[in-house]
Amino acid sequence: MTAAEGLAPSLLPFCSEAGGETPLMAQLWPLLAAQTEKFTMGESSSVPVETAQELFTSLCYTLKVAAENAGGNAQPSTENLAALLKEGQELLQKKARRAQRLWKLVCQTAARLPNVYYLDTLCSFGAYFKQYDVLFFAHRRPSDLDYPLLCQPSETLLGISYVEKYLQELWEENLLLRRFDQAAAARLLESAVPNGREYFLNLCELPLTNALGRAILQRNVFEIEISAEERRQLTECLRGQDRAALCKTLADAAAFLSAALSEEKDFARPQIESLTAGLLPRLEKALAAGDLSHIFLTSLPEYILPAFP
Amino acid sequence: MEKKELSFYPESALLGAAMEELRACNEISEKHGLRLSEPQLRELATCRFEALRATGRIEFGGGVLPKLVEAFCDSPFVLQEGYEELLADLQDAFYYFKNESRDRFSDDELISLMAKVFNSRAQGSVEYLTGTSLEELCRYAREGWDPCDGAEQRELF
Repeated sequence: MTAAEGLAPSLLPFCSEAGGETPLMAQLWPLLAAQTEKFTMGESSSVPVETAQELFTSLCYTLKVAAENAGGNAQPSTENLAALLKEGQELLQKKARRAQRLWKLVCQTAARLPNVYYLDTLCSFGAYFKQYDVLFFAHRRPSDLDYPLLCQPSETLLGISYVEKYLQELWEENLLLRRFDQAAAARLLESAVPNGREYFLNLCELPLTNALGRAILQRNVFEIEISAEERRQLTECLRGQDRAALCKTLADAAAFLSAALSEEKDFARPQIESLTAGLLPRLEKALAAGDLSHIFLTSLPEYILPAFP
Repeated sequence: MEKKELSFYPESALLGAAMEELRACNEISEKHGLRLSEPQLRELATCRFEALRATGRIEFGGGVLPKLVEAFCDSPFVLQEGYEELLADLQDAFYYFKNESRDRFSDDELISLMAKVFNSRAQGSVEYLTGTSLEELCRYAREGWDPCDGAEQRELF
């Protein structure tokens, strides 16, 4: 079964209301034929199966967006699927414009940290918005979003819905990163990974891990430096804790960090929780080895590092 | 060849539509002494789905056969005997060329190229036509064919 055919049943409740007892696929088929005719501009009676599948996925995605939008009302406003498709396309156009505004906001708040994955991903949205085809390939996502987010959007999201979620996450990470000193974050990145510019790494990960370490020690979390002495204190504090106790310590530190970073309730909680979930098994192993120097990093002195751009 | 298709392709519903359109084509081809019987119509419509499956394509509506009938029925090389097989072979060749051209030719353009080569260089040989590559098909259709040109004749053998 293709992604499109998997998507189609989610339209079932709406389709049965719109078209009575006619099976879902029988209702969608004429719509797909009409879409294909528009796509080929009437010049070709047939298309490759791959093209038909893509057109079908786009069709289902557009209808789903419109059906979900109408979902709040007991009676959908549209009378048939063709009208629903048009409504869906208009909705997607609005979503695309909204996502484009969000992208501009993300660019404006972008971290001043040199990383090719981060910068290329930001740039790739420009081409995506130019090429986004709401009529025939609304389900397509940018193919070059390389930057790893702390909370990756669900792979089940398609088209502009995925893009919106990705940009929302990126924007939240930007805001999170801006709480910390950018030069200190850059030093940390350079110290941790040689040639960090080309390193496949989330830019929040290192500052946030150190901030979490400082939160465990109840220190100022805006300073992301961890000294050798602080690392020793952390080792002492965490040593001997079983998994449940470590989980609790990290959860408490996450809550402390979130509250310290912003007055906003639960600021960056999903991102911090995602980070702590990944940190736990590493921390257990590092504690067993008695060395936390690869988890809570210390920046190298500034004179050793390359100049910050 | 790997067979690709949409699992919900309403083949049976489209079969009826295709046969209906082909029946209407008999009116055009009858003027040239060509006619398809009901079993032949059914056979051709079935062949269409096999050709589509084999080439990994999906067709909406009646299909391309009516256009092929229209384009080839006035050819001096087409006789009632073998008419059904010819249409089936032309249909296969059409979908093959359509894939080869990556859909850059419209149906009408491609059929026109095929008919041009069929009536000239191929001398009514569908075997020659189906053995021709897309590049050759385009070149032959573009350059035309002169039966008195000895150099061109030699190319055939």
